[in-house]
Amino acid sequence: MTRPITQAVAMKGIVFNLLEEIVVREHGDDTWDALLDAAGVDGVYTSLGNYPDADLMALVGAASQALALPADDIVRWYGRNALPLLAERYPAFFAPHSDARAFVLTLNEIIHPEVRKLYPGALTPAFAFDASQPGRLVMDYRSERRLCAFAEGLLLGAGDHFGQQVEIAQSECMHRGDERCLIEIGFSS
Amino acid sequence: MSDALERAERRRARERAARHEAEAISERATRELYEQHERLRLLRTVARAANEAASVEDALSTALAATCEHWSWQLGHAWLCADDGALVSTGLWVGRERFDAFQRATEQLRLAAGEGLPGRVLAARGAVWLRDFSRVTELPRNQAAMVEGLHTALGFPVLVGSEVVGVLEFLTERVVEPDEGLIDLMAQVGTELGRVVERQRAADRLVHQATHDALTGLPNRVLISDQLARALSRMRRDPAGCTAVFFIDLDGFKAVNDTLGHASGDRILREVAARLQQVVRPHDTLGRLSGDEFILVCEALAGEQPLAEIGERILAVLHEPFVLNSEPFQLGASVGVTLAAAEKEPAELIAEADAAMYRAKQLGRGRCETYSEELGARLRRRSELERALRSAPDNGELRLHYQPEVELRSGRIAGVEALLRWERDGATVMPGEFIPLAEETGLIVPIGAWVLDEALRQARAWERDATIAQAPWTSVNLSVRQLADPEIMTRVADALARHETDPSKLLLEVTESVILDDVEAGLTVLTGLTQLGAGIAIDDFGTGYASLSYLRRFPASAVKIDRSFIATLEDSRTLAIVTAMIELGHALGLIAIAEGIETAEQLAVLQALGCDLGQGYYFARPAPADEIAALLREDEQLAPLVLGTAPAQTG
Repeated sequence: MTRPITQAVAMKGIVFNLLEEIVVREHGDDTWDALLDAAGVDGVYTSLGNYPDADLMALVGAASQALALPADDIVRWYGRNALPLLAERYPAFFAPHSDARAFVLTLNEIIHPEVRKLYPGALTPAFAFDASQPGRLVMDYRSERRLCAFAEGLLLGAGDHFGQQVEIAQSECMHRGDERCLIEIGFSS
Repeated sequence: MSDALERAERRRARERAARHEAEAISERATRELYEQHERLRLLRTVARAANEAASVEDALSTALAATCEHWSWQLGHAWLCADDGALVSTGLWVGRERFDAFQRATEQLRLAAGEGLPGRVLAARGAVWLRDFSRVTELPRNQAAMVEGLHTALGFPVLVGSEVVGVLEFLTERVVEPDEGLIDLMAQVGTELGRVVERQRAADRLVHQATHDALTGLPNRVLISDQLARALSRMRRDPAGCTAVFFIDLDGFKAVNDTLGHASGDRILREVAARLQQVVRPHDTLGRLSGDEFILVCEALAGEQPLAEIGERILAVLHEPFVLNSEPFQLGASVGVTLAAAEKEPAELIAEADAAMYRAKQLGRGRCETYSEELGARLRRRSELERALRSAPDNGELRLHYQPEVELRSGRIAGVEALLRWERDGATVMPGEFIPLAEETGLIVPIGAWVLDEALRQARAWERDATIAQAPWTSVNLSVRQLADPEIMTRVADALARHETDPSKLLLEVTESVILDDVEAGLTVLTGLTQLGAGIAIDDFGTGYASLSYLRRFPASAVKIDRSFIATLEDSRTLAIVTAMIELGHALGLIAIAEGIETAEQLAVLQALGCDLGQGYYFARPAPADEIAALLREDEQLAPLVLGTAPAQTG
């Protein structure tokens, strides 16, 4: 049952836990069981463990097939729904902020260091921000995992959390052969 | 839904909740462990810096960086207490690049207890947490914090015991709730840093002690020389201004010390230091060399002109009366000054200023003299002479000549006066040329010891010489300095014992001035010498200042009438004085010896007055021992010859 997982390709267990929680809440236990079977994974995940990236990809693939939706849409939906759960578990990251933009800007300096406290060895993506325009952000995302859709989902979720409209466009995307994803975000006031 | 299915779903939900709780507990434990580990790491970093840092600044820098990194705070800065207790910026920052305005606002501040965040820490002697700095409008840097978007601030003290010696402050753009764990940790950091400050202070104290005079707190010779060396090297780089060295020596300070005691002397020296402080400009260096010698180094002077002015100011402040035990009295000072040439050494310049000061003393004290090359040349001759004189006894360059003291009644040689000669490089140096220097430098003590020893050796030799019918006594001069030598009694006793000389054959000549400085001490030594069996003659009688009441107690057996009286005997007033001196001497039971008899007329007069003995070229010039021995052997022929040439007594 214990799988030798190297950090480089490992996903933190919480990612699976959140997904499970959302799927069960929205679609029931049976759907989660069916997804696990369809993906061919054993479904034993705890928030403190590390699990293969491939497991997540397989689950997303299974959901995509079952719902006949693009994988990115599944991932985006997951991200958007994961954010309120994160806010529930880690209110301290959200409390100091009154809008989504300020919250997002603290990812590199505060949230990711805190995440590393909880999960020693966690590989968190580094974002570069262009915050030169008020009410807007341009996020430079580079990751082997190419989970820009997850980032989009989380951004939308942050908008929901702070009661703001968030508009997202990607002028560059690694899925389209670019070397990075450039996520352009507009926040309503 | 069937009951069984519902139960199964409830069970599943329960199990999931239990799993979440287990995960949460585990996460908390992981987090705590991580934080504990990080805190220990921070403390270890600071402790290592505290142990190894070369300076307080190094340790503070390390602590700032480690703390900012550890807590992800954007800005860290250190304050240290100045001498007056106010907090001033150390200029040590972490993250200042992003917070320019706040840095500028900070570095111009000087905060007393209670002022600003650091001042509050100083007053509280403990950490102060401001949840939102930018909202506390009474803080001096409130505006800057607002502009920079800084919110939460933490200040905590660097403590040595319970004394706040510095404050570290950290700021962040976030709003952070007070964290007791963080405050506890930073208290430990503050204590660690306090150790460094304490260590630095101990080191500074040692350096201060090594470079300052404990009595006045002024720089000592070490620091003065160092400052002077720096001034000289500045002059070499930028020869625009002049540097002058003043050497200040109090006039009459020794008397204060001797008569009023050292505690009073110390109070005077502190007062002198305080007065001189008023004279000096902010960048001048005032120091105390030793005793009552002070040095003032003035830089960036516009030529020689201000020298006299500064000298006058020094003389003026020290001329003001001092008050001790509500008694005013005057001291004054002699000042020497030299204008520094960049290529000279500090010690050289101090010696030049010293020489100029010495010149000021010679010219009557209470004045300021400037060093010149001519003065330097004189000084070099003098120091060369001193060096040569120091080695003269060991080099066998000292000789004794003897001049007979003749009984005027019989013409017999009753005694001889030992007179010192210095054979230097084949020439004879007369006492007048080197005795004053020997007196000043204290060389008179070893030289005098040599004279006594040699004279007693010769006296014993004459005693044993069968060809000499009656050996003369030997007169040996003792100076004030020699009599003040605590060893004088033992020296004389030892010399007498060494040569087994009859003590009654030793006549010690002292001037009246030996008892001027300290009457009781002088009389005690003289009495002690007579108890050894030696006689005492009062030399240069009539030229000193001794009062007749001292004469009453002076344990003398002879008076020597000064040659200046004998040379003017034809003057009726002189004659009257000499007559009185001889009569006074006789009345006190003293032998009268006239010095400097050069003519038969003088001899005749002195014979008529009943003077007991005479000495002078008329009888014999000072000569080496062997020539004197010849005279002693011819003694019986010499006496009638002497008497025969004297004119008949009138009367």
